[in-house]
Amino acid sequence: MASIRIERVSKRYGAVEAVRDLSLVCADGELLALLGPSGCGKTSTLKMLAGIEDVSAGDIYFEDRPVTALDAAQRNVAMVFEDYALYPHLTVAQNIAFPLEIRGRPRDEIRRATEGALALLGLEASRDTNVRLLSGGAQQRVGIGRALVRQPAVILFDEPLSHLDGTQKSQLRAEIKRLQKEAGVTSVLVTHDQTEAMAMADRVAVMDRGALQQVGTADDLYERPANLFVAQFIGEPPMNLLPGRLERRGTRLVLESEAGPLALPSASVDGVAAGPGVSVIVGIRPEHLRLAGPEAPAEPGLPGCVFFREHRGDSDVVLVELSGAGMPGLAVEVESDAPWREGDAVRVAVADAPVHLFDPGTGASLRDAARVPRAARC
Amino acid sequence: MPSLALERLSQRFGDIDALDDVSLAVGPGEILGITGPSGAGKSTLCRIVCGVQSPSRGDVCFDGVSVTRVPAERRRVAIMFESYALYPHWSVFDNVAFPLRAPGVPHLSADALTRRVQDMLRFVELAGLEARRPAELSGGQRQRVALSRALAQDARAYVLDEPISHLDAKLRHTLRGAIRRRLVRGEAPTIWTSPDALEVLAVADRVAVLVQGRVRQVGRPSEIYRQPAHLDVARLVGDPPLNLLEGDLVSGAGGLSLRHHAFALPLSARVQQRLATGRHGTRAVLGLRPAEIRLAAAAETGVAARVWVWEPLGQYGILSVRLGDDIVKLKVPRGLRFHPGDPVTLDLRGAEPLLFDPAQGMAL
Repeated sequence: MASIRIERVSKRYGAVEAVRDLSLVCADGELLALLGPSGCGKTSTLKMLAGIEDVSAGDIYFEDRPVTALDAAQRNVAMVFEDYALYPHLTVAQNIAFPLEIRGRPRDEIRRATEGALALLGLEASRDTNVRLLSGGAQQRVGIGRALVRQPAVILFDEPLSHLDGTQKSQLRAEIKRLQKEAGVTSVLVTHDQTEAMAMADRVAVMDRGALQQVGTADDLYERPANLFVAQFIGEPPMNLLPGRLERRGTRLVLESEAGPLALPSASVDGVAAGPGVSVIVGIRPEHLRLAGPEAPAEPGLPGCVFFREHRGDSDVVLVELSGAGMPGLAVEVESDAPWREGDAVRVAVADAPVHLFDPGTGASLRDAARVPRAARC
Repeated sequence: MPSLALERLSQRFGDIDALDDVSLAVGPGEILGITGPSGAGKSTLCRIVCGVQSPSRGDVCFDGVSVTRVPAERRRVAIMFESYALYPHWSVFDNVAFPLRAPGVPHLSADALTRRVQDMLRFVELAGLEARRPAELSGGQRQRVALSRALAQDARAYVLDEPISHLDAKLRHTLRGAIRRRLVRGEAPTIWTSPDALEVLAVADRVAVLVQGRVRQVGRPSEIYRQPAHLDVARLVGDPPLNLLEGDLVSGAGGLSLRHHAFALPLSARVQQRLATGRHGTRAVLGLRPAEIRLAAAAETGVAARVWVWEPLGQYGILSVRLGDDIVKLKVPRGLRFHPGDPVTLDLRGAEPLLFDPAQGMAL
């Protein structure tokens, strides 16, 4: 077991800077997710942790021991791969035992470790099955078992769920999280799927174009996104973003937008470094918007038209097209039995809930500007 | 008004029934979503509708007239294949323009054709990439080329086989609304498949659930979600899907209850009325919706369980708890934190339980 410290690491491929000045810590026993779209640098970072790729600058430490100069075999790192990478001619038990066999461990140690992993993963019944005959989810369980038996300092998970279909995916997602906590192995998970990252990780590091955008728990990212990138990447449907100018009307703060004035709840004013007259982008989660009919006089709200209603099971999402030029559509979460239909004229107002304010130039959150990493501002 | 009907379609591949007696109808301007696990027969069905494959048995009909023997190029069905089927040596523009230039398609002037293709590429957010070859695009971009090639056509029907599965979450979300709006403005029927049940529930007017070549249920999205007709449907639908717990139906002083090895749940009068007589004493599978199970305050009477895993997802979280030998999932509001092994008490009284026959799978 070991903590991981990444200190000012960069990775260049020719003229391309895949990772830029990255500093991150993963505590002993923690599961840290690296999350971002393709090309964000998450996989390059994972490869540098594994020792498959060299760093261009900076250092990596496992438990205060610099490993930057060590090759992959010397780092005691196990990997779990997207495509499982099992030995197709071997059985479940043989695959799990393999890393110990090639290290020439004593026979009874191999047996004990393999049996332990089979029991932990619920694979006892299929110990002698050829891995090719297993479902994707079961194959990935074998991959995890093979990683665990070595008692590695660190396990690196590279998109471990991306080849699984929905039900298997959510099942294995919970299983991996549980196993990781039980085994207490320091782990890094690379994924492009925000749901996966938030569900599994203790903390999530969001990356974009080589630069770290924010590190935090699922709640931190959802409730206090550091910038527009994180705000839009976390949450499904994504956070609504409305450009406009802040004005004060009596006690209320109002967003003057192309589609009309939108009253913001007073709670959102706290800690906002923006005064009246400032151009901002307001971010509002779909569950924090409310719809009213066009006739409702008390609630001003932005006029618009429902162009799509999505059934989402426990609730629905209504997409509203606003009348102003260049205005984005707004996603509004409503109860399953709410009346709105496609084609209805509506008014959209903000519920008494937190909204987020961003600097339209830098994209940084105005709530707590000091927390935004410098890289996100360039 | 154009309509599409599949009548008793079967498709055998060797010993396997890829499709087994499938009958479905799609009305004018309607989107029929088809969902099911991989291998369910979704793509086979799409290939039969557009005519690149002939069924072992059954008919494809447009406006009541069979086209089963009409070759693909004369059916005027716009299909987007799951594999994209782009021409690798052609540009993005030429790939999208190809079906518009095909023989038998009403002629478009060069200007009109260019405008049509560019409008479509803008629609799928690929403007500016007209000259690229498919190999120079990401997987998601290739999928959007295939999608725009299908939507650019004036077709009698649209068949979209997993049209947005490889796009990132944000684009998937904006695009599916835009595609739906475009399709329902026209009169052509559409078939839209996805292994993701939530995707078809979101975009389709009606949804068919296909499992092992058979239609398990057809209905409006809310019907599929609220009243799954079969265990196969219950396992596929929901985020997370229904909790399925097996137990015995036993009668007592308060009427019937479901006795699971870790708890007993009295059934409401409504549920009891729905049950066929002669069910007591038999095994049944209880379906409980994750959003309808609540955490009870410790003092209340409830079902004791232990936290297995906690997955925070921002707006809410999924709490998996161990209940006897089963794992049960609940949707809980944000702001709470749990650790493995924490004791919790479940309140099952707010849930509208569903019951299924464990052997046949049918809803009781």
